[in-house]
Amino acid sequence: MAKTKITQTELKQVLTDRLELASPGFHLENHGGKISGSIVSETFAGWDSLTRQNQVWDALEQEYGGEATMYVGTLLLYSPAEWNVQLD
Amino acid sequence: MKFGADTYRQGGSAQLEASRVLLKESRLCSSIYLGGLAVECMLRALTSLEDRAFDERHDLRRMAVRVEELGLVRRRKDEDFVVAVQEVTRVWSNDLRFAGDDQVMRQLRRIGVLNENSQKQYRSVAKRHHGNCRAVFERCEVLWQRQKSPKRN
Repeated sequence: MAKTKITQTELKQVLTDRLELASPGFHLENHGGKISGSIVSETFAGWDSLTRQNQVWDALEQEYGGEATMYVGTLLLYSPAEWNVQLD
Repeated sequence: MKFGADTYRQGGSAQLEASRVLLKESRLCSSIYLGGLAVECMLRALTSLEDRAFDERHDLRRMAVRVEELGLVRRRKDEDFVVAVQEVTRVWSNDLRFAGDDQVMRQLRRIGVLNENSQKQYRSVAKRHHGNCRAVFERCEVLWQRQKSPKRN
């Protein structure tokens, strides 16, 4: 049966659990009927950008199948050091 | 001074060219900053063109998550493009306008993009950043041209 909607709360839980995200911070918004935004976690520090995207989308597709892209838009994935830029 | 979609696009184009010239002259922190600024200008141009509410100010990351909403994502996930956007926003922040090469290099080391204090590697990071900025900018330009061209019936 088709899933009708993915909520931000559900998305956070799914990604935190499936990727075992360390202390994640979610900065999500709803745009054009999709959830998009930035996710910050130390877990991403060891992965390059392609791996980050693949890991997240693999997790979403395992949970929601092909419908993931209907409800989730662009997710950008940062380590805390990338998110909290320090120029000192 | 009043800014509109055309102003942002022209500014973005000038910044991207300046980034290229500075990269060639090995003025790397300025090249990195202007590359990201060019992307910000172009995303701002597309947003203005669509007359969308815009409150992201200089937060490129908040703008960048709207690439799909703006129509820039072509395929289902469009992995290469999203990775280019991700790479630009990992390296770039608006605060870089205050930074010299030493500070930029320290930040790049902190995030693991640069793993030694090598000018050669720093240049390679700057070059890759410029390439990513150009890729995002050019995709924006295609969409810009499509939206500005007369509607076909």
